[in-house]
Amino acid sequence: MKIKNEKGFTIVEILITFILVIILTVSMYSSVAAYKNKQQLESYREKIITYKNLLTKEIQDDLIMNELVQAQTSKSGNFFYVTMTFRNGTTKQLVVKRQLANETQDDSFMISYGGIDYPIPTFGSSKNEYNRKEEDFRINNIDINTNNQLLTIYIGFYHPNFSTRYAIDIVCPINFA
Amino acid sequence: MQKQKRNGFALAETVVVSVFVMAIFSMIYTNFYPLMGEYERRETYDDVDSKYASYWIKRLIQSDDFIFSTTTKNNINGSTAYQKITCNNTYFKGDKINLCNQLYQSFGVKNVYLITYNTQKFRTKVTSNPSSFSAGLEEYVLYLPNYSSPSLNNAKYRIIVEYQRTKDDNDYYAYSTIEVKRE
Repeated sequence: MKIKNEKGFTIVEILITFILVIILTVSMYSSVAAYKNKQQLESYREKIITYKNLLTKEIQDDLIMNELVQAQTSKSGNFFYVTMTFRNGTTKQLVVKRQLANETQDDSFMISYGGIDYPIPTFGSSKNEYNRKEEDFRINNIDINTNNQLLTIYIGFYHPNFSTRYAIDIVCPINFA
Repeated sequence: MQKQKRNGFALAETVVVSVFVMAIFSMIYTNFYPLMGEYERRETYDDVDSKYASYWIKRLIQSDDFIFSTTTKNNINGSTAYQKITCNNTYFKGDKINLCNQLYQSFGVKNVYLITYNTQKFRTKVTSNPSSFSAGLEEYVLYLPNYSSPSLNNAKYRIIVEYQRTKDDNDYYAYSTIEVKRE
């Protein structure tokens, strides 16, 4: 008589395997979701740091290589201006705009240096109570002054997910000799 | 009677394989985890802000208003191996004292160590007297190369600057080094 082939999984084995796989998947889901969220935040953080470092380096390069001899600061409405004069006679202007959303306008931020725009990275937005756009990543505060022969440029950024406030923070002696 | 077929793994085999796999995973974990911490620490070494701040401190020390006394030189080149530079009339004269104070405050400078271009002597000093220096400085000095080849700019000295910063509401130290050309 031919012996019946009885190889294969029993229903109990399959059930146990399914249950184990489901338990593993469920237990891993929350940690995978957390990692995905963390990865997204890290990519935001990287973009912010790259942006900050790029602009900081552009300004610092001029301050170091061309030597700042004069700096004038002014403010008009939502615009902040710094006009820097270097030892070789050239001038460059840093313009920062910080318009926060209100009843009639959306958030609007802008930084330009030496006539070149440095668009601020965007990471999504929400609406205020007047249905105006509020960016998640915004210029939080600006402090630009020239006290005691020292030019101080502080442009602080804010993102709700980062307790650390990233900033362009440049200090430079004026007419250092 | 037909002999019952007993395909499958014995308990001993399963246990051996499980222990082997667990041993491999724990080895990977113990080797990988410290690397993450080290990476995070090194984020605070020679970043763009610290390097820029160190440049201005170097300019202060290279200026004519820096008092580079024989005592300072002897301390750096002798067994002391370093000199802490502070903003007072021991090291600076004229307007530079005030400028030094402003820069130290603006950049969050905690300590400035003026040492020889080659870091070997200072490294030995820090590692043999850990209680005199912060743990962060010791790690940074161990991370730095010796700079055993002469400077391309003929610099004889360098500064190591320790900055106090805040991140996620926690204070931490950042470090940066730059060569100093001074006779």
